[in-house]
Order: sequence, then structure tokens, then C-alpha cells
Amino acid sequence: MSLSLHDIVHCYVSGGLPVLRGVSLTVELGESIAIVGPSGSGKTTLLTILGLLTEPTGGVVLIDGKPAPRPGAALSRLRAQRFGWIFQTANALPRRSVLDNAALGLVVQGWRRDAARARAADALAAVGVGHLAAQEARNLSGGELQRVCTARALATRPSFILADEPTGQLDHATSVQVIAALLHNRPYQTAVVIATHDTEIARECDRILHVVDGELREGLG
Amino acid sequence: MGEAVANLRSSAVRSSILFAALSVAFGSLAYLEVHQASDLLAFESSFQAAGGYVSIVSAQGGVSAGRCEGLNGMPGVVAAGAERAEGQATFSSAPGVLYQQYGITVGMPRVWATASSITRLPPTPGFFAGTALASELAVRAGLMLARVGESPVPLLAILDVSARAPQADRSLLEIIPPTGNADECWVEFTPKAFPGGSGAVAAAFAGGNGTPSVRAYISPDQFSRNPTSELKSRPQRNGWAIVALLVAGIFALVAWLRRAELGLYLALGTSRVTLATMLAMESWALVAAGWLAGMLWALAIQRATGNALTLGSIRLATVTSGSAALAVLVLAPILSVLVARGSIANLLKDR
Repeated sequence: MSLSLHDIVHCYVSGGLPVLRGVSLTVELGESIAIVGPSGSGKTTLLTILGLLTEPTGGVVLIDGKPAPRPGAALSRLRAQRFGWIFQTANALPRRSVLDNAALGLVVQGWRRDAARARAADALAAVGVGHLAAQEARNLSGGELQRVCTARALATRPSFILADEPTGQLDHATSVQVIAALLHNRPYQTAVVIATHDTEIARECDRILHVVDGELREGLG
Repeated sequence: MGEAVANLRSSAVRSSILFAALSVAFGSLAYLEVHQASDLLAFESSFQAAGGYVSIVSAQGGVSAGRCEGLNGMPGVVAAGAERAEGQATFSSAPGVLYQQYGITVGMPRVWATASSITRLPPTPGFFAGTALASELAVRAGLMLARVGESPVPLLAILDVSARAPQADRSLLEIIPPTGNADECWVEFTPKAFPGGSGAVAAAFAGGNGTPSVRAYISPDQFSRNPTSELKSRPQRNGWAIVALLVAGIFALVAWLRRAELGLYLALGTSRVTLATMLAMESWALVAAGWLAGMLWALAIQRATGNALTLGSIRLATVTSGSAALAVLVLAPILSVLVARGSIANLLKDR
């Protein structure tokens, strides 16, 4: 299974300057990719296009060689079954328990709540926050919350995990722990794409891609 | 369903505030309705008892008794009956005293004496008497009554016509078949049908003797208030729509404040239909609980302050606040889904 972008162009304003220009990229199962670039360079846009949250202005997104479905039930199902997400901030339901947050992806997939919680508890334990399961998400520190969201992404055993600046608001030591939790606990066939401006984190990945002036280049640029 | 319940439970403060706001909104509407409507409905009831919705048809040369009785099947007509003055009579038990006699068709007792249950011609010949006549002659239903020079005939019932036809209360009343002409035709309408009733009745008598004239039994200037128009123009009759918009707006605001959360659900693969269902269930649970609580406190306050609590006013309060609640049930999920429209990435940015 693969996820490919072909000649992607994206503008936020009709007729305005494109954020992405002619971007092509293929993500193979099991690999890890870091997308680096300065703030505002289009990393998040590229990630949301990869994760089928944003429809590009031009170009094609292919999944297993077929164009991604149009917005609708099939696209939602694909998102639930194939993708896991970690966002930079506030990517949890603040008043729900850590366990419920970790189980959310599975519940969305249609799992029974108790079965989802059992699998989520394992994922929380794997990333080292199993002891926080009963806490409300809003009471967690930034590093703990990111590990909970990592557990949520891992629990569904997706084909692709997309992480948008997952350590953007964390100190260095915590950042290393979060990335390690993500890269070392994923199932072997799960691909990880991380948008980051931290070159040290980028070096942990198999490939590094650099967004420059809306174009994608191999390496740190 | 599970997510909706979990969200309501985990956001207990938000749910409680919403519940309280809904209870106040629906309850205030219900209280206004039950409080004002009790007064208006009581007035309408007394207005109706006094004959406020009765019209009288007359014409040069009389009106057809048959057409008058035929009005009983007309929509909006409570009862209709014709009356004809039949001269005067004296009774053996009170010789020398003259009493008026009226021939009335079978529908008339229900117009003149609202409590009457007479719906067809009596099987045996007999008279009815007004209460004043019965009192003067000291007779009661079942006794025989004899006009001077005639055989005794049973007194079938005593009709209390004093409120609407005081002129007939000291009279002998005889049910006559609906044939020939009568002096007047009395028609009682439902409150809703009354305003347009005159025209329909005039049309029913068109082509008969002379031009029928229809007049209200109670002329408009006899009362300074008109309960029908007051009920129609009470502000809360349309206020439910404002309350519904306000409450639905609160739900939309809450959804707007939750748009990052909604974006997260969508990003994780929740379909928009499922999201709409979840939001609808959350709002429906709160609306149902808020409406019920609002109704209960509105009725409790009305009762506690010693004001009348009638079935009619409870029904009006239920209909009015229920209309607001139903409108919110429809509007709230629609507005919430509109808030969650557009790019998921943008929703996720709105934190």
C-alpha cells in the first residue's frame, strides 16, 4: 500500500500565491519521513493534503494507485481506517479521560467501547502513560498529552501516522521521548510522516524532505 | 449515541449551564402562557357562557326553521335552533295568569340552556318549562300540566334559559318540528368560527323570505374586551419562534466554541452525518430535559402564587413552549452542523 501526491498545487485564496507548487511525493509502508521547513512554508498544508483533510487546488492524491475519494462517507472511512493523527496543540477532548481519548480513533471506527478501551490501555502503556488513564486530558502536561495522542494514533494500527509539529511546544528531553514513543512503538508496516522544524528530530527518520518556496526537496536543504 | 452521552457527562458544567438556560427559556414562555392564558381562558369561558359567540338570524316574514336546524351540521356551529312565539296560555293551577308560549326546534335547548342534552324530538308529547315558570307554578319534571280547556300533558324537563333567553324563562316551551317559518334562528359558534360565521349563516338563508339579517347576541360594545382577539394577539403566541431562535443560537455558539473538537472528530474519520447525529442527540437530550423542567417550574410557580391552573391554560403552555422546543430540536443540529462546515484543517486551527 502506498500514498502518493502527484504535482500538487494548493492556494488558500483563489488566484493568490500557491503555498505548494508541483509537489510530488510517495510514502511507502513502514518508512518514516520528516518534512522540514520554516514556519509558514507549507508543511502543515502538505501534511493535511497527505492525510486527506484538505483537498488540493490542483494535482492528484493516490492511495494504492487510485485517486482518493471525494468528500463523503467513503473518505471518512478511509481516514478512520488508514490514518492516525498527532497535532501540535489541543488535539484531544479536554474533558474526557485519557483512556477515552486514546480509544477515540477506535470508537470512530465503530469498535465497542470496552474493547476500544482495552486496546487503548495497551497503547497508553506502550508509550509510558498507562498510569494516567483515568485522568482528564486537560490536566496533563504537554508532553503527557502528546504521548496520549501518540497512543491514540497507534491504537488504531493505521497505515499512516501523520504528526504535525508534535514536539513544537515541548522541551528537548520531552520531545525526544515523544518521538521515540512514536517511532519505536508503531507496527512495523506503519509509515510515519512528521512535519517539524527540529532537525534533530528529523534525523531520526528514514527520509528528510525540505519544503522551500512551496516546493519539496530531498535533504535538509 | 455513546459519544453524545459521554460528551454530556464529561462536560457536566457546560451541560448544566445549557440545561439551566433551556429550562429558563422554555419555562418563562410556559409561565407567561399559563399565567396570562388562565385569565384569558376564564374570561373567554364566561364570555362564551354569556352567549358571546351566538348570532341571531331574523328576516321580514320569518326564517325557515328547517334551514335553521340544518345549520347543526355546519363546521364551527355548536348548536342552532329556531323559535316562534306561540301566543299566551293560562294553566288550571294558576287561573287568570297569562304565560308566554314558545315553539322551539330541537336544537334550541342547547343554545338557550347550554347544559341541555336534548338532541331529538321527545317521544311523547309534552312541554318544557323555564325555571321561572316552574317556580311560579310549583311544578317539577314528570308532573302533569294542563292548559285551561285542554287535557293535562307531562312536563318533560325544566330548562334554565335565564342566562341567554330571560324572556323565555317564564314561558312554556314546546318542541316543534322544523317546518314552516320561525321568528328567529339562534346559532352558537365555536370561538374560532364566530368572526366568519355571520356570512356563512346569511348565505345559508339566502333565497328565503326577505333579506336575512344576522346580529350578534351580545353586541360588541357591551364588552370592553374581546377574548378571542386577545388570545390571538398575546405576544407569546409568536414568542415561541423568538425563544426557539435564541436557544438554537446558544447551541450554535456552543458548537462554535467546540469547533476544534468537532474538527478532531472529523480528522479521525467521523463522517459529517455521524457528527450531525451526535450533535443532534446531545442537543435533543438537553432540550427534552430543559423543556420538561421549564414546564414543571412554570406550573409550580403558577400554583404556588395562588393563581388558577386550568387544563386549557396548561394545554396552551404545552403547545407554545413545546413548539419552541420542537423548533430547537430541528434548528440546533442544523446550525451546529453549519458551524462545523468547511475545511477540517481550518476547524483544527480554531483553538
